[in-house]
Amino acid sequence: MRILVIEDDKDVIAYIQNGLQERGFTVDTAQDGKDGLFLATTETYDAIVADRMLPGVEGLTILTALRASDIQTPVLILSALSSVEERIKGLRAGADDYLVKPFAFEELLARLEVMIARNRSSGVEITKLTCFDLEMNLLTRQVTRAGATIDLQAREFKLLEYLLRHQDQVVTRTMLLENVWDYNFDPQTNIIDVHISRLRQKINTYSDVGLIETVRGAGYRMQAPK
Amino acid sequence: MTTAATRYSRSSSLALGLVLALLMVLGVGFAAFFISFANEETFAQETDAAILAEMRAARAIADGGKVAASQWIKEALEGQENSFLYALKHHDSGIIEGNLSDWPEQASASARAGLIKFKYMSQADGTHRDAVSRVMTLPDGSFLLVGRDVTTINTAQWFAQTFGWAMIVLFFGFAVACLIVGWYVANRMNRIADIADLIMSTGNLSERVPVDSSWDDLSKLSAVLNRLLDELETTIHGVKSVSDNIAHDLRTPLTRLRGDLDRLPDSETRSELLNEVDNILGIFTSLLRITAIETEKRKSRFAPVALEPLLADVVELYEPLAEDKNLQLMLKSSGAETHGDRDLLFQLFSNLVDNAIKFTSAGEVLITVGSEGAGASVSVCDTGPGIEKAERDKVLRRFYRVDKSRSESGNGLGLAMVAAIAKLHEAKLALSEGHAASPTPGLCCTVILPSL
Repeated sequence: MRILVIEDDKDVIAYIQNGLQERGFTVDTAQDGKDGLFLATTETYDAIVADRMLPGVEGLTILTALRASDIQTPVLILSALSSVEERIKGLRAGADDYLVKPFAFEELLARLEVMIARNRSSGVEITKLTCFDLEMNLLTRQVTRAGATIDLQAREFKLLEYLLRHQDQVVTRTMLLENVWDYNFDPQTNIIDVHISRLRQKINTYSDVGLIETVRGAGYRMQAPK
Repeated sequence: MTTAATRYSRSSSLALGLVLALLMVLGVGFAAFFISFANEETFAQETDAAILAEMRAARAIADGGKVAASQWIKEALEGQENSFLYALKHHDSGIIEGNLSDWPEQASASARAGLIKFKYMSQADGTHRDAVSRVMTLPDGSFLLVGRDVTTINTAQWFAQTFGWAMIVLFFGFAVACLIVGWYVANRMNRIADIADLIMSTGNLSERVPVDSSWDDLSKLSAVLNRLLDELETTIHGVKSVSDNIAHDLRTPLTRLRGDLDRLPDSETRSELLNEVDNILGIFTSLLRITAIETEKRKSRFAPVALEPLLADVVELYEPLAEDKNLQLMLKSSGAETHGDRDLLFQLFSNLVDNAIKFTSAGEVLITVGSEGAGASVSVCDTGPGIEKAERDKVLRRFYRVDKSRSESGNGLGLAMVAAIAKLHEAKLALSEGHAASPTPGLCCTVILPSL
């Protein structure tokens, strides 16, 4: 997969480039806005990671230009401008995600993968989500494992749904808080872990095979056993 | 209306103005008394007494008829630099003797009983003058008139009265002027105080006090205040940028460290180290967030927030944690709404509930939502060890941890964040004892938010 990284800080570029290349991505870089915009419009990428404060053309301007030319490549904005107002500004300009610096590489990776996968999915409405022998029917709101029904509370259902939709991708705790709980905040304790452990207990009622893997230092991943 | 009244009643300038005005009114009182005193009656009295005394002398010779009277008048006129007027006449003839050219007319007015006022022409310089007189009837039918010139006295009286009125007008003028000055100063001071209050409550340091002119003292004060605000604004911006820079400068090497750790092969040690670094980064993030919330007072993201569903979400989030510790987590709500930032309020209550669960080993955590006067009240009460009175103020400080709590996880920033968010929402935060009947005192954190 091809990723374009537009960032003027050499250390950050190296950090991202190395990390992504290790995981098999092809990475192109640009250190100023003009080069970045040029590459983004002349080459094809699976995703673009762009800083906002760039020499030459600003990140958001590049984004607006891309969207105006109907280039729908998913863009993740990386910025030290952390206030919610700035985040909203970025998302409104057409960004698919907004990550605040400093960031953990795992977080960036997880969000990139989710972004790319989302972009790839066809527009067809999915009515069923499955992982190994776990089935979730989105119409009847029923969850079964190896045929047996599992009783889930509303929030647990939402959590499982999110994990299933992002199967094989790393999902960070922040992503879960934003998407499953719809609040933007910093919990003092790893409350998410407790919810995940609950969910695990429930979906393992009739089976010993674990489906939710803990990715150390990053988050969780729903995955069928190898 | 009452606020307007207190604003002015507490003003010293206005009070002073009022006191001076009252003194002026006293002056008016005196002047009025003076006027009433300086009336015709008073002046007339003296003149009348003199005339009566002279009349008594005339009575002695009255029996001698007009001849004796005539002689008496001649002697009186010879002997003195006299201000008396004399006239003697037969009942049907003109003036026989005296220094008056014409007898006063029949219809002359009387100043008091028996004392008549009239005008006469002075024999000395021909001017028309005023006089008062009494007339005595002699046994032989002739009339003897004794009078006094009162021109000067009348003028004096007129001056006195005019002076009195002038004083009244002047004093009233002063009184009004005092009140106006007092009110004017009080008003200016209030305007300055209002702007200062506005600046403090909104935290908008770019506002300035209006300077109306360059010569008066209040304007000079305003100018000084503005310079103070300039300094303050610069300093605060400086502090903010310094602390942001510090956090940024420390976060970058930490992030790099994290990146390096991340590249190590997976192991227990790697996980632990990553957790430690994440913990430190978390502390920096929280610190910066707290400062940002404290210094940024703009409430542009405020919207109506329904508290019951918000607290229900908090309960749902922490339910599993409470269950694991065998604690009852309950929500009692009669519904309430407030104006604020949904995410920040969620953070606030999440921190409080998190703490409550963390420090309570047995019993319950009760969240109560309701209306309190004009506002909305939310309290989180637990059956834990509670916090001693002396420490209740301190726990809201950054990094402060009560000794008993040091063994638990946490960085001491939770309540500092709660306090900062409460302040931004102009909410009152109070810590008190829990009210459940339990062996331990427990803690109640109550937040009173302004209502919609």
